Amino acid sequence: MIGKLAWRNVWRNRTRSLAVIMALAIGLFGALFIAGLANGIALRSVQSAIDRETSDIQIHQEEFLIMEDLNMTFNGPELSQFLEGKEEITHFSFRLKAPAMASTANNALQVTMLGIDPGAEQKVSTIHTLLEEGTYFGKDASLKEVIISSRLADKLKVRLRSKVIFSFADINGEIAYENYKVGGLYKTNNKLFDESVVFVKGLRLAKLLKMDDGQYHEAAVRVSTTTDAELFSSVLDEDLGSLKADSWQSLNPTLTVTASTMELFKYILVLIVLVALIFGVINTMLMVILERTKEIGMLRSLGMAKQKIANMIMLETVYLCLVGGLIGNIMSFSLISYFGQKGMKFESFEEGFEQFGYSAEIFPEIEPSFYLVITLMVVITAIFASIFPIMRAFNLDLANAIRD
Amino acid sequence: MSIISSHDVVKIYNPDTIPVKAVNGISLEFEKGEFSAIIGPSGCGKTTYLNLIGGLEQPSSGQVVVNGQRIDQLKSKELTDFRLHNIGFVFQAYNLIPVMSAYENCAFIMELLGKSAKETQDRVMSLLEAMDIADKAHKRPNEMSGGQQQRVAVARALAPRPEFILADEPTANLDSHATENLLDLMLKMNESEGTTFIFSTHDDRVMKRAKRLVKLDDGKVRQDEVQ
Repeated sequence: MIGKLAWRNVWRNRTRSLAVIMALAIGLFGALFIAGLANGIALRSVQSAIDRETSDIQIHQEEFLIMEDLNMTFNGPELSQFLEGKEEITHFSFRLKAPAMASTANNALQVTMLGIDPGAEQKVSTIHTLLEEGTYFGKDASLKEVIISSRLADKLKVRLRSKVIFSFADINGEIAYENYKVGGLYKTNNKLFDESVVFVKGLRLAKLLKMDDGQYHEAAVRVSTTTDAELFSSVLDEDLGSLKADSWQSLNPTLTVTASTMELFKYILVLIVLVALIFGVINTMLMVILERTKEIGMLRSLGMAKQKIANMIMLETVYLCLVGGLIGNIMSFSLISYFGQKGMKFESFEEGFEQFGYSAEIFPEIEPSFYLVITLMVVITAIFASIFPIMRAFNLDLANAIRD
Repeated sequence: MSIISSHDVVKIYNPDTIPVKAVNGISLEFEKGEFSAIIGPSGCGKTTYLNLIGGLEQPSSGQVVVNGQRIDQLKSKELTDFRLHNIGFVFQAYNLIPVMSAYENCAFIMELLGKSAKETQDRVMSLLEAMDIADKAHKRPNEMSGGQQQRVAVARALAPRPEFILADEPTANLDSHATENLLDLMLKMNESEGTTFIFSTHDDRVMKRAKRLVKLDDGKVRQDEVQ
């Protein structure tokens, strides 16, 4: 009966209750939508970085990432045999990695040459989908074809099919040169990546580096969606001997920090909005108590315990906030789902976004469990907001309250 | 045997600033089944005295004994429980819960007592029938006349079968027809259920029907007569 009474009390003054509900709903919607945008940016930037740069896991010789010594290689066929037996692994690709100087008549820039197997690389990275011009190592592509980013092409002042000279040290430390023809121009939303990474066929690069057949520097590994990359990398690590498996989290700590910061940001944002809204709710509930002084006095006269009065006021506040919270959640869910599919393009901020490695097209996203957490936060906020009105009701002088 | 007795009860408001002695040493006893009225001019202490014997206020001095228990010594929580189990209240302005129907207003108190749904329904419907408002059971207060609302208030007060009912000016807002009607019904319940009724009133019509009149003036008993 107390629940029913509290619910009906909410609707006694419809206009006032609706005003509070809408304030809550719109406030929460705003916070959730911004959280969704921020989360979408973070998730997409993490996913893009995994797709084009790190993969889920990379395997190298233990010190390779620090020393970048071309002699720190592993045996491809052996590792291949080992990886093929793991059901968590969906695809893998082996790479050669060599620092080089890309030179043209106009400019010279330091880059990293990734020598890849185009077919295998396609399954672990999305670079082949990011070509703006040219083709991704087509059937007729020569061994001396390079794929560079259009940003790098601009800096080197080259176009498709232009020649670029790459100079680098081979495994013996002797300087080697090779002319490559630009076969494709890619573009990601990460300016730094674009300006520093070029892709060539691994077979040719191995010869130029004077490396033995089947030797590689890096294995890029993709795991199934249900596999935790961090956990699985440590499992792999135990069986790899002198090789080391690193998850994307340890390969790119910035990404990990971005993801966890955005996670925290969502909660902080919603909490700030709820704290701001709580004062409106407290004010409304204090007015409710003031208006119903006589009624509360009557209820206590009839023998309704203070605890039950408190329950009634608390429930009233919770109902009020829950309705607002649910409307806010539904509004957010609808809009986030819609733009999560369609995307929101912030073209005028494209340059700025890409400077930091983010895409200017944002797909807002919030995991369903977050809505449940928010609903719980709304309930807790409502309980907190009801404390002051309850205290006011408790402090009523019974005889005066009835006389009012 | 007296159901309520007060011994030299005094109530002083604002004792630290401008003291006002609303009740000044009232000693009275009420027997079970009485139908009594406390009368007197405005400000004579009628309502304050009802509040004191109803446990809504604590006396400044003196004793209030109800059913053999000193209620002036009870703590707030014990008093609330005591009121729930022993006393019914009828207020001048009906004080029904506006968002509940007549039935729910009465059933609410039964639920506070932890009565079963069946017992609640039987008791509430029989009271609403006795009050001649069974057809209004599902109407809300704003859909009823003042007289009908006050009958619901009486039914609500009677629902938990209290030892006595304190009614503060219950007819003040009613016309003569509604007043006569209400008094008939309360007398009927007094006789059929043996419930003690104590009114505070200015209303001659109530005074005529009361079996005992206690007249107060300046917080003191001036006259106490059985009619």
